[in-house]
Amino acid sequence: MTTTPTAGGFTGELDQAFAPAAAGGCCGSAPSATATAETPAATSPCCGTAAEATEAGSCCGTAAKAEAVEAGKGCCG
Amino acid sequence: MTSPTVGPVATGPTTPDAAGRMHAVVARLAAGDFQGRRVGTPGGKGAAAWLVSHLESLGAQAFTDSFPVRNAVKELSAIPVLRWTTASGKQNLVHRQDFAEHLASAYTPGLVTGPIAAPDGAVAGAWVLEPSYNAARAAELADVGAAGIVLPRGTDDAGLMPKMIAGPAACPLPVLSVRTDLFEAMTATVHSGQPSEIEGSVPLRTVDVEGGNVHGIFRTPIEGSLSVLLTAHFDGVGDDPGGVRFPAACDNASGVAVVVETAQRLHGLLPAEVGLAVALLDAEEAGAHGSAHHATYLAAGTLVINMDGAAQLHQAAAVEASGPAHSLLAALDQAGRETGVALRGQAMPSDNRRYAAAGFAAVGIGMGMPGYQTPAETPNRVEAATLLAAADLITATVLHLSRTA
Repeated sequence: MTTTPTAGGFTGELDQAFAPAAAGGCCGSAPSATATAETPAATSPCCGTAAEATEAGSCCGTAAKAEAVEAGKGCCG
Repeated sequence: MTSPTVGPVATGPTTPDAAGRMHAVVARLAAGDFQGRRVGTPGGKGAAAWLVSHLESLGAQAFTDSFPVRNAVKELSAIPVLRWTTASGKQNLVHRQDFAEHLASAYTPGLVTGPIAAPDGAVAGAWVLEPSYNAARAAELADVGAAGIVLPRGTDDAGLMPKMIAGPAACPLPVLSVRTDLFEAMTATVHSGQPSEIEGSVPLRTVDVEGGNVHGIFRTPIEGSLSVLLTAHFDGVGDDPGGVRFPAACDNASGVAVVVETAQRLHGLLPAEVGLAVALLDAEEAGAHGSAHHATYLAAGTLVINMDGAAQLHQAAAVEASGPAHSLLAALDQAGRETGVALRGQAMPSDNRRYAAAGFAAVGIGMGMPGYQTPAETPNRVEAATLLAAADLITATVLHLSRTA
């Protein structure tokens, strides 16, 4: 099937996908090449900081993720 | 940044058959004999074996790759108990509706009984109402002889508390979370001076297990050519003891179905020199251990597209890009425009982050997980239109990459 152009694609700048904002209380931006270990991943409780994620050996700080879910805010991933 | 200008691509057969194939994969993975597919369980291993067989039937070279998961998986050996007694009588509270285990709880298989106390009250021998969890405070309460800790917790829209299997280190006390309104009612009894007592057990322990990723090699790239890896985790949080099901149809049987369908489709469309493989990952729910293991030996330069949830697309798909992923993101944008799938930057903390942390260009894509990590996450919640949209989007993305590489 050959698709035809429609209204899809990114609604904003593509680079926003490199530092996405938290949504629905979850989760923060990913550790990236430019993020420091202390960079807050989000102001919401999930997923903590890049340092916490590293310490937890996870893609998120597991303590922060657990806290978010325990608080009923849900979490992705 | 703008997308390169290239013409639309032929994305292969988007037919009702494709939706049927993907739904069949979702239904199989969500079936009772796979027990919610938690890492290290017979159900998880059974699902992996089925996926190997399924990939082989599609023409892929398929195999599993095992790895240890140490000190990361929280497992219930029985259903926790919480009984609350007041002057009005005793209530047996319902697990995952009224209360749930807190992941920091000490392993407490037997009932612990005590009065309910406020944080600033007589805490020795009592279950203490705390507004939130704090490890230092838990240790302090254990030192003064508290019986346990009770925390408030919300529910999802269906009134259920999602299950998780990874969390903080265990503290010295049993810890239970109760629904916010019940927490407030318990607080009111304490403040009014009424008798109020809890009997509770939290048989939650941390276990070491073996995980197993499932790999399917559809095409080996010619040296120097584009190589694409499509990933999705197949593990879930597992059924509860006693048989309460957590089918994990949305998170992430739906993502697995999309990745497999897309690889099958691309196998017949890509130029011969392009590499194409799928990695169906284990232990994501325990902290993305499967992708962490795979990222240590994945060939340099491989582009990674991870699908986490393809069940209910609402307005726009969530996309997180990491690493040197600008060309990948541009191809995704172009594909979104062609297939009519709206995209927005949104956090996707899943396996894509593990690959990115190892230096790979990686994007994570999410299209919804209704019933997230509850018994309500059943195959009928996975929308055919979303499965098709996801397969079309990824197919078009990879085809664009193959044309611009």
